[in-house]
Amino acid sequence: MKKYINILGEFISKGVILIVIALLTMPLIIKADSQEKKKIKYRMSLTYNKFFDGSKSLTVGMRYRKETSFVNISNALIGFYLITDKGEIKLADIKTNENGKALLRIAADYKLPWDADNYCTFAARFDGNEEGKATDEEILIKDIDIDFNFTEDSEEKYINVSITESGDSGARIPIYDALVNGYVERMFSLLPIIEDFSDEDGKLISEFPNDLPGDSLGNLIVIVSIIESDEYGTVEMKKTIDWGIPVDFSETETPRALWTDEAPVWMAITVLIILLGAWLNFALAIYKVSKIKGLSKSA
Amino acid sequence: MNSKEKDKSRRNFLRKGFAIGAGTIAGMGALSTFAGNEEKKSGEKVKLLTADGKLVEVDKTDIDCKTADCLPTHGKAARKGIPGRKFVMVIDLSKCANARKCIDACQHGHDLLPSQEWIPVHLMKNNSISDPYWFPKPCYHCDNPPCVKVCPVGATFKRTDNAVLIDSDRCIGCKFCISACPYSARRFNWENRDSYSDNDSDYSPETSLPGQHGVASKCDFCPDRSREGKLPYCAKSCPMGAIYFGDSNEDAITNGEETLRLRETLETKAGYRFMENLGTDPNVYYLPPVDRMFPYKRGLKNLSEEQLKAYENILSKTDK
Amino acid sequence: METNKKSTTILADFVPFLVTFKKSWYLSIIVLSIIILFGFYAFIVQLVDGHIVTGMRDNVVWGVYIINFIFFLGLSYAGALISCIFHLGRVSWGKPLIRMLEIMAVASLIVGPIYIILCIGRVDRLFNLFIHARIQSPITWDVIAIFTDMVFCIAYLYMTHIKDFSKLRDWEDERIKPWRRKLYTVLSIGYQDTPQQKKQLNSALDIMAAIIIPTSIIAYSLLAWLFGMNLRPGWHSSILAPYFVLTAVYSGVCLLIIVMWVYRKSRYLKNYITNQHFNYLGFVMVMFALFYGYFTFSDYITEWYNSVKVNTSLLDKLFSFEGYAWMFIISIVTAAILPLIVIAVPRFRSINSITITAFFVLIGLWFRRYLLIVPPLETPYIPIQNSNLEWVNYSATWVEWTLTAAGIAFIILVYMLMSKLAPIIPISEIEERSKKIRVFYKGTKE
Repeated sequence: MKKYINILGEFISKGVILIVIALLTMPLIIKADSQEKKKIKYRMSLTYNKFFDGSKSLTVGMRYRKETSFVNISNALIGFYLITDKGEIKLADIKTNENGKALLRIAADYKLPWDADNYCTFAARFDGNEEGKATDEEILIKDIDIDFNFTEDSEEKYINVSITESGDSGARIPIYDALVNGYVERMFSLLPIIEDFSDEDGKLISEFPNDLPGDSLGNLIVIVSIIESDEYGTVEMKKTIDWGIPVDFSETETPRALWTDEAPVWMAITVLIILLGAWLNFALAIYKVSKIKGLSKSA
Repeated sequence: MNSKEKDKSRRNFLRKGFAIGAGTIAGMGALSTFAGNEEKKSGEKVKLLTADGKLVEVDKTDIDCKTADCLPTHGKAARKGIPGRKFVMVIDLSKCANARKCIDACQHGHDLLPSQEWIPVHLMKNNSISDPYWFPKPCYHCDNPPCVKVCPVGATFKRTDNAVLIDSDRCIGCKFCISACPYSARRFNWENRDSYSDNDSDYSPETSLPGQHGVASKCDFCPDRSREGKLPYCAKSCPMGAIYFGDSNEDAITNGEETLRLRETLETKAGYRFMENLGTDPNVYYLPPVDRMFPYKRGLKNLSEEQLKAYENILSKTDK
Repeated sequence: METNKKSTTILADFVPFLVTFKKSWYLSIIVLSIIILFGFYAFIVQLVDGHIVTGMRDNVVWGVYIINFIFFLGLSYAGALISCIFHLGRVSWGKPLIRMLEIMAVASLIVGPIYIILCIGRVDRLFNLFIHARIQSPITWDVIAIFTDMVFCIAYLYMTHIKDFSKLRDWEDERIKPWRRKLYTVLSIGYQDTPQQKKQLNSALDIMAAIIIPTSIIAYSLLAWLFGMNLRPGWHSSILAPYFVLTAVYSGVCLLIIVMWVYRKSRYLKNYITNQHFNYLGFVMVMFALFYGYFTFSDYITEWYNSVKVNTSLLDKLFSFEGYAWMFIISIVTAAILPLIVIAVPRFRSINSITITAFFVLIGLWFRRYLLIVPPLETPYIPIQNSNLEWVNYSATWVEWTLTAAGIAFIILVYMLMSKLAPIIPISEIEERSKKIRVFYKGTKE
């Protein structure tokens, strides 16, 4: 009897051990399974741009982190939305390009639903696909305007910038403490001339350099902007002023030199004289030889 | 780096003067100094939300044409430079770390063999005491070019926009120009490659593409890219921002991140030209390697055995 | 008639030489032709594969081809110069040698520019040199000079043959076959040695000799200025033009000695190429060896004495044994010292020893040209820092050596063919009493 109890006990203990092992490994197996299906975390960035002609754009950038660098995600379908109190307005569905960017331009006269304080919420949503998790991004943007004009006195030239938002019945409310950057457009880049904050009146006065070369008429293209502000997005305004030094764009005559197409005059003449001297003498010798045949006695 | 810091650094990047949206959403009013130029369409479409809420597709004007003519010129027209421009390059020697990205980008953009370096990086040492420094050496596009003087057929020529270019259709390959350049800036296409093609109608001395065998070739200051407002391959790809490029008529140079006034930079930072006393009047200025942010040895990492041997003449004289 | 008999005798010596073709002659022609064909094959290889088959790379862009170009062009101008000086100066001992020099001039002038064409990367665009020529370039000057000199020398060579052609045309000998006689008739353009014809021809020869002398000196100086006007250390030297002319004439004299020695082997010519010729030319060699040593020393001591780094690094390369010291020593010993020992010391002087010295001098002068071209290209202002070691030092490939051999074979071939066309010694020149050069000043009537 005791023997059988022993054997039974052994079986039971072995079985318990097996069950425990099975229970412990199950989650691992399930986990391994789900690891294959685990999606990558996609990172989305949403930015708002307002251009000098009043048109706007929303740009979404999609990328994910791979070891120490980022990889852009192309062909991801992004939905652009406006979020108002009355609900969502879908604007567009755009796929990201090969640089991972999806761009929606909004015409200047499209009426965006700014609220009473000139705010509006823009959203972009990615519903996820087999590889990546769904992700979305929302930004709250205040609509502001940049305006500037040029003044000068007897000594200096100035640029007066005014940052405002629209208020009731066309009034302009100043924006305080916005970081404003001003540039002059150059061929390859923008030359910075202003970096300062607007005061309580939303104004900013800066000296304008008076020794900048311009185009052939002396025109300079000035861009004043607020860059990547959390509240205002990126806003820019562009104007032209003729405060530049004109540059000569006409075709200049290349001089006669060693390194140009036409040789200096003295060189050409010298070569000609030497060549003529040698060849004229040669021609004389040939002429004399040719007379030999004529002088031969007819056989 | 959390997101706030990232934003801040990007903001600094943009503030230093690289164009807002240049190359991406540019074209929205990219005015050139000539009225009435054509903006070239890139063929890509973007979605536009119109005033009445309709979604339409428009062409994305990608190419920012900064000159009257965006297309590289051919033949005789290529001998005239881009009007009103005088290209100049400034290389900040305190920033060069021999990353060699300039060499790679230039070789990639001009279809070169790995042995052809149009902008080699030399290791120079001014004297026995001073530290060695890295010295990228493109063609200097001299104002009094010894190579142009000696060309028997006028295949290499100097333009009004400072670029010295080679017309591969005319070059006979006598190699006199290569021996005449005191800076050893010129190269020769020794072999016949599949990508080479003679008398191609698309060939322009401004792009130096497609190449031809048996002719001379060299750094061309990338005038085809300048027409589109893009920096040359080397300036664009330097990770340290050591190469600045610009138009001296405009008095502005940029390395892609920051834009500086040319005269002011050269005046305050003692910009010099290499071997000025040879009288060739180069158009590439160097800023002396002072206040370097890192030791020159950083440039020796990731070099192959052969590359290290190339710098033997300087490395053997340095005991550090 | 006395003169006729004399001329009969001389020509009698030569006619058998002209018309007999020994088996060994045919064999030599075949061997030379094979070498030249091999050179042609090497040229095709280079045309198809590009210049990558040579040893030239981005730093040393000029190698054996340019060295051969300078060498052969030097021989050519030397031949023209010496023969014209002999002619104008009415040097009597030089008369038998004129034709050999003229053939040297023309043959080298044909071979030399071929080397330049080999050095050009796009031979299909050769005519750009004429269509788009830029006068500011030294190469354009060189092209004009070579072309001019080639025309002048070929014309002169032909003109000096006219008298002999006419004599051969009139020589009664059945060994001269009809086709030969016809050839001589055409080539002598009706010259019958009448006084007026003689006057015309002599005056034409004098004019040609007078213009060839400055032409050859200027042409070779233009070639030297190709290097002298270059900024490079080792090339930018004012001594280069006189140096080139000097070494050219020196190498021309040496080649002349070798040619004389070869022709002397035939029994017909022993009377005309005498020991005295070797003596005179031996002394000329000694004189040139001294000049050559003087110029070389002057060139190097002025470079060595100052401290300019780029010059001293070039000299270091020349004087170090891993560099070019061996070549330097050989070029100095053979070209500057050997003639002094062999020729100035009467014990060692003999026709064979003079000829062997001349041969070694030629080799030394070729090495000198090598030292003039390649080391300066290897030491530019900015030291070469190239990872590809093939690009740092120059070593010529089989293509270049084959073409060098082909060039030498070509010159030998031209000599062999020309010496069968007309006697290698200008008979008419020897027989005639030279007309004195008219000297124009008041009072003389000559």
